[in-house]
Amino acid sequence: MASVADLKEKHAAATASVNSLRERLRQRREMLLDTDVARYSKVQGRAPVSFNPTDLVCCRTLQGHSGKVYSLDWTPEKNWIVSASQDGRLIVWNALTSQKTHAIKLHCPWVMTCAFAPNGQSVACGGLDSACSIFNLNSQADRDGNMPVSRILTGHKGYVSSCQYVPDQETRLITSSGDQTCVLWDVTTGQRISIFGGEFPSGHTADVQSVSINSSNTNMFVSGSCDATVRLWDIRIASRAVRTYHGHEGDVNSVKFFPDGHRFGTGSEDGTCRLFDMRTGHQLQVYSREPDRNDNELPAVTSIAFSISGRLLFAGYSNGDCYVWDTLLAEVVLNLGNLQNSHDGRISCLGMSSDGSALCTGSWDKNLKVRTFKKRLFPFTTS
Amino acid sequence: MQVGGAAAGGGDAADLRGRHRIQAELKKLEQEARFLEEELEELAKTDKVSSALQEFVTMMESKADPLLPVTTGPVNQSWDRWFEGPQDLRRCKCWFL
Repeated sequence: MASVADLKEKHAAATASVNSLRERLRQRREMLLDTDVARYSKVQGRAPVSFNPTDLVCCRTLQGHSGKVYSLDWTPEKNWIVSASQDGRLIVWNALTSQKTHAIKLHCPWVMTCAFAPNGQSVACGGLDSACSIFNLNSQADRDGNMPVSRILTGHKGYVSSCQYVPDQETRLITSSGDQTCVLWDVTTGQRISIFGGEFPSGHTADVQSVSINSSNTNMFVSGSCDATVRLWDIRIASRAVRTYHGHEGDVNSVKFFPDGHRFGTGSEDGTCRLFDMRTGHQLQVYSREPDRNDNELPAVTSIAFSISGRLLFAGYSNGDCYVWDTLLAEVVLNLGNLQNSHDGRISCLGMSSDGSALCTGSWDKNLKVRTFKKRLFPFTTS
Repeated sequence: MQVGGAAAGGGDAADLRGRHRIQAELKKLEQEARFLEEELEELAKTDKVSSALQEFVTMMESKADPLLPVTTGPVNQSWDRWFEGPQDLRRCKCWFL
């Protein structure tokens, strides 16, 4: 049997081999990066989107949480939003009327994420309890006015950072966790169907912060991690990641599929957003803000969302800014954090309504705000 | 499997634990090297970034977007539902938590 010394030598050689392969991959990728989206679009003569400061009006301010808002999600239909807060509650809002339809007190107040089921009948949440709790919104409250949990999904060995239902499947949910894995759950049985990462190679090597499921191909999802990478997974093949995307220089806090399902965006602690091509692995664009006059560290990107065409990339930052990026020209066309009726604190979460007509932002100022394009007078300008 | 006798003490046992751990890590590294080699092969057959961008730009400009100042049709009047109806907050029985 090989001695420990022999094994250590082999280990060192294997490490060197892996590092060399990674470097070759990096160099080969760089050779294929002959342009980026912005340079290409400028050559094609595209003009940036032009906003007036009053174009994206705040049409709703949803007040009711008594703590920082950490997460929000829209229903696929209707106009409902669920939000999760430091106050240990989920609130379900009718965003159109601003009314609260449910306020759910959680057993574990340290909630980090929430999600609406595709049929709008249930909500899921998770956090420092390392579990994902499911609530059926049609349940009767108990004597104390508390809504009963209908299912608790246990198994993660670390906090649940993000959760999303598989589109059009009420019974399946994907979570990401501080235990470096993502899990696909069967909500009806509470069982883990698959674990992505963990013991297998090609899994994340640090906390996973965010997931996004491809709505064009619901077998695929991406996860963003504190290991500075994004990984693509096929839910039918848990044993290895399909692809790993390098580029960020810090924790990847937020990932979101592009509307066409062939690309995805990311937001990171390194202060940049990036756009990647899912199939080729290419980094198509970096969205990097100007350093401030004092050359301070760039504020982190906390959350991102795309408009329904993908032309706009909304990015919330740790300093309260909410930049609207022109995805094609890589220019900031508006800062929602600098307008009348902006949030008074960090924007922690963003979500687009399913028809793309409204953007909801959640903030450490305890509020949610819904923004839409100012009322159009028909007939209006079309290209 | 060699196991250290009681007299040999913890030294051999520790060696065994170290061996298993290093073997497991070695396997992971070898697996990762294989994945990286596969990716290199795939990359050799991959087009440059510019090849896919025409389709990308065209696709983005073909979809109606309610948040853009100028957008392609068709227009949906429900986009303006956010401005409809009485926002009568007096009737709202919401409470602050």
